[in-house]
Amino acid sequence: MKMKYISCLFIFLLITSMVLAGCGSTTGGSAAKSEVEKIIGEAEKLPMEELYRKAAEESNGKTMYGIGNSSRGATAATSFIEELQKIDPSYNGTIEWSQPKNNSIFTLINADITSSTHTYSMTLIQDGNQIQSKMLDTGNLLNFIPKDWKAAEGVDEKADGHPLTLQTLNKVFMFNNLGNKEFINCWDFVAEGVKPLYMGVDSEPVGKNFLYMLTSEKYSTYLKNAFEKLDSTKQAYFKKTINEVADNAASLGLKSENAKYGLSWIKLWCEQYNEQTDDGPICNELVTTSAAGESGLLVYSKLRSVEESETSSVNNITIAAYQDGYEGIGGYAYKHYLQVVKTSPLPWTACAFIAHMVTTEEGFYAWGKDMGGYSANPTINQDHSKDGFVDGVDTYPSKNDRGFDWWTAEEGGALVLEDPAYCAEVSFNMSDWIDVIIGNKAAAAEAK
Amino acid sequence: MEHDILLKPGGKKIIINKAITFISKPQNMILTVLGIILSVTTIAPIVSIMLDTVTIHPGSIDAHLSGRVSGYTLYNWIDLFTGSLSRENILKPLGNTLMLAVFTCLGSILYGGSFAYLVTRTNLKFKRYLSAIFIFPYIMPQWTLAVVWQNMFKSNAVTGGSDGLLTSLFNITMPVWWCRGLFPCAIVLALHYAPFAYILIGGILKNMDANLEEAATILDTPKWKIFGRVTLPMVSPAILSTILLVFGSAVGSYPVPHYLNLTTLSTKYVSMNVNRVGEASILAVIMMLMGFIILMVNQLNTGGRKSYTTVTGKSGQISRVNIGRIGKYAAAIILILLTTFTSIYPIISFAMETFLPNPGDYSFLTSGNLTSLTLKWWTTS
Repeated sequence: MKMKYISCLFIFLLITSMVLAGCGSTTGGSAAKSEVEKIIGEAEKLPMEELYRKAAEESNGKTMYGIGNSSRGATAATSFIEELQKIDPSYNGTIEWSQPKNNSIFTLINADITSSTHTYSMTLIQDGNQIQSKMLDTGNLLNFIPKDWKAAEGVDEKADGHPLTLQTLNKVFMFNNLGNKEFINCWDFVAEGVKPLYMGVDSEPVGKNFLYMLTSEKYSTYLKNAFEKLDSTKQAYFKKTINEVADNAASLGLKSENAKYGLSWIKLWCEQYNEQTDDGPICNELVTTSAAGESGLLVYSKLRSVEESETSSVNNITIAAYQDGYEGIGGYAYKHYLQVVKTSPLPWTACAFIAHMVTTEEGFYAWGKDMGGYSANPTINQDHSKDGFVDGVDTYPSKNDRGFDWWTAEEGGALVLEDPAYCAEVSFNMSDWIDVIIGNKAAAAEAK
Repeated sequence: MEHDILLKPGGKKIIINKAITFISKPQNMILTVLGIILSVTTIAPIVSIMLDTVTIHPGSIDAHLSGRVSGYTLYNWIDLFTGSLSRENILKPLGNTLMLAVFTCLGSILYGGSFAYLVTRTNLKFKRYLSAIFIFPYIMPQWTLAVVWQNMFKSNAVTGGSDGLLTSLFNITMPVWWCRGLFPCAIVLALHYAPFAYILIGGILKNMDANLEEAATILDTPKWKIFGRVTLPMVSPAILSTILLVFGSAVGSYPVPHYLNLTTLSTKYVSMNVNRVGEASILAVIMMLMGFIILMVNQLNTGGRKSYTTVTGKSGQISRVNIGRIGKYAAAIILILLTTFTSIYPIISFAMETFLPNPGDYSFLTSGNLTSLTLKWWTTS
């Protein structure tokens, strides 16, 4: 009897879902500008002082809710509130900052937009692919370009303004130099038997974006050029995979002439990388004496928190791209973007806070104090080129950050930069292709 | 006519009066309120997840292939079960999840049940200490146990990266199946959920009427047969309840498979949420179905449970099995050693981590240099 009852309940739930599905309405776009869009349009014409004033008027006594992939937004919020209090000493508004786990930021923002009451005003978000396809193409997030940022020296609006970039973070190839292994070409990281430590592409989607970018014209050519610098033995080894995947380029809809180089590097990388849960543990592993000859691709700034001990030292690792004569890509870079939520309850405050982070040193300090993170506004970047110096002596050369321009130049670090539009364009086909490789790798490991 | 109306009030009025009478009783009021709350909080999420499986999600594969950004489709169901990635996205994670849940149930019931039997039905020594310490793995979050396992058994030679504690101190390397995958996940979860089995099975064993066992003893039945034919059937409801709790929890466990590299439905749910949102919701529905099936089995069992009638007088005490003068100490020592590794070591290890210069950097043990220990994790934010 009870079982019948529960079965009926389950069937009822199924039918309810289907009925509700039928009752759904489709959303339609509106050509007319929303209130938030109008405010963004006005805010883009105002200097910083005026923006602070508008924000102080709008949010005095209120709480603005921000959501982001970086917990440091809360630190930036403190300096922003201080600025507002300079404008209006009686200002007592606050900023609540939350950092959701995994990929839930997109779900939370979408849920907030579709609910009857709206909470979040702005977001600091990463993963260009999902931002493009889930947030920008749908109009759920709105771009705001501060006037002062646009006017700042060295700002590249075309590259960093759409969507607005807070910072570019680099993940670089490193290896433990205690062994006798050599990594003087980016193809060495996918050589036979090499198993670099890396956060799984399913754990961190920006890692998958990096792989997508390798199929683009620019970066597949970087890989081709690096391949041509290899000796004939190594070339013969990699040539087998390059030929094997050559036909895939067309079926995956890739337009680059050299896409097969990108695909073969991706295939070997996915088959060989040693999946880890986070960059912090990868760094802690790599710097130890027992990890001789190990390599990895991880956030550069993780080196800052390594404590010297009997078995751990920053000097146990070498940044691959810092070696003289290193060929090919030195890692990849992804961005943190700042956006206004289309249903923002406090749009003036959201715009002012965004402007504060991208135009003032105090606003960017939370990120700028560490190496490996570069503001899209070069005037507020801090110099980390001597972070490895102790009492004037170059003690930890790996920590001497060579800066954004060096890292992104082909003759420098040759970092692979994320392009949201390209990632969104190729992601569906490429993602499945990568997942099949990873699935086959797991099946092969089980068969052993 | 008027008289008739007065005598026979309208149907509506009768219903209202009945409802008022029903609600005026406090127990009915509480029942109604709780019924509404539970229905909403249980049914609403289920409906929402089911709806999500047929909804088109902007930026997801269903939108990409249907060419629409909103509306409904059965594409997610079709692609998940028949698409080129069905092995990676459903078959393999489903198989792993089922194996993990089954082995976790077996492990927790064997470990927790045996422990419960020894504590409640034998003359084992140090019972109070053992029963307190046995609960500890459940108090600790799952992921801490997984990390402790990882730090203990990893090695440069087998898992890559740096050496774990066992390799650093004793140069012992464990095989890869011991360090990653199904085996460590099942062991860690079994240890975590064994206290469930101990509490549930122990509760019945402790309060069990010994008449049937005594009757069997009088009839000269061998001890193993008494255990198998009398004791075990009587604790079977507790075993089933443990399975219900442990199976469902193991199916939904994310941190342990995540840290110990096993692809399950829960880890796949997280990774598929990037561009296969609707298909990820189907995985959630499958996980719910698993819980539903276990619940059904439990219902069937408890609904048809046999009742026993004893013809003897009421027994006043539980019979204790004498495991011998040496046995009661030997078993206790084995359990103390076992719980030291499963309950005390993880706590010490985690406490120790807060003083290490770098996570997992136990260099002070090999060098003997205590100055490398630090308070920075306590003093900095």
